Amino acid sequence: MTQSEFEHIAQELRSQMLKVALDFFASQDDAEDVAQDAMVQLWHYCERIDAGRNVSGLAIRVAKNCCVSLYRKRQTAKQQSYEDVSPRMLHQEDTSGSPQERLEAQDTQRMMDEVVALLKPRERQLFEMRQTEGLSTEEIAEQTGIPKTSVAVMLSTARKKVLTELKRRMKL
Amino acid sequence: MTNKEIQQLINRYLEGETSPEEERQLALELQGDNLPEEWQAIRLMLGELTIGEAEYDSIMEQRKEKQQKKPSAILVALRAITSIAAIYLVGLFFWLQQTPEIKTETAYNQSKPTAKTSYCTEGTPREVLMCYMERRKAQPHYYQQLKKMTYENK
Repeated sequence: MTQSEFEHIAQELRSQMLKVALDFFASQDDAEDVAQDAMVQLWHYCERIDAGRNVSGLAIRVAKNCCVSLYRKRQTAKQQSYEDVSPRMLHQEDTSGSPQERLEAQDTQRMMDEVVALLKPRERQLFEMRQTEGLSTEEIAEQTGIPKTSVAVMLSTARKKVLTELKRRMKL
Repeated sequence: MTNKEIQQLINRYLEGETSPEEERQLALELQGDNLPEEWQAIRLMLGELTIGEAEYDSIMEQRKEKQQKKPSAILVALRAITSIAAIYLVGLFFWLQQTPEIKTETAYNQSKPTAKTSYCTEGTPREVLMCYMERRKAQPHYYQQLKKMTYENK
């Protein structure tokens, strides 16, 4: 999906994501922040997705994810102390965890990306349709034109390959 | 969920048989730091978005449950109040139904003319009232005078 295609649907996606955030946070400001964050993340996901696909399901997932990460940040900030946390800190990018933990999280994410890149293109597509977009087997079958049973088999193959490779790398 | 159930769910996940809902449930189960290596890998495979969505949904679910509990607390209080009121009503009913306990004594008293000057002070309030009414009926003149003295200051 190109940037102009994304911008074309961005307004509608944003309002969907804002609704998800408003359901979760009572405050309008928090919801706006989440929608903004989610918009940026969504664009990164959409870059990798074919044009013309319906991404509103993905948008909602990304928005939910952003809600939860802000929520987690608040919870840890609450636990740590009531005084040390300035409001500015909460809005900084990813303050959760120590620098060490963040680095590890980035490393595992990179490892995951590398492993998924080893899959055959078709397997990779199906794997990501489920992992990223959260589509059901029926929906994947409908959108790709592959029979349902074959989708399950290909998903299974892809998952087993990924697991074997991940385990091998984790042991190193 | 027990570890065995989690492992069964993981096996089904690897066979491509789980639904997105089941995978979200699995993501919720695979939280914490001390997971076996394979489980950590599965968690990674489920992906950040699945974990996030699972958490979002479970938080919303908890809030809904909390909200549903509130009116039921009011109901519980109402139920308590009504049951206490019912107990009082039943008690009142039986209290009004009370028959004089010392029937033989009152019968004995009735057969003997009671001293005219004594007051009706014995027995239940109901008995006292009945005693008073009887005496009043028996001596209308005396009570009329008494009434005049107390209410009309004569």
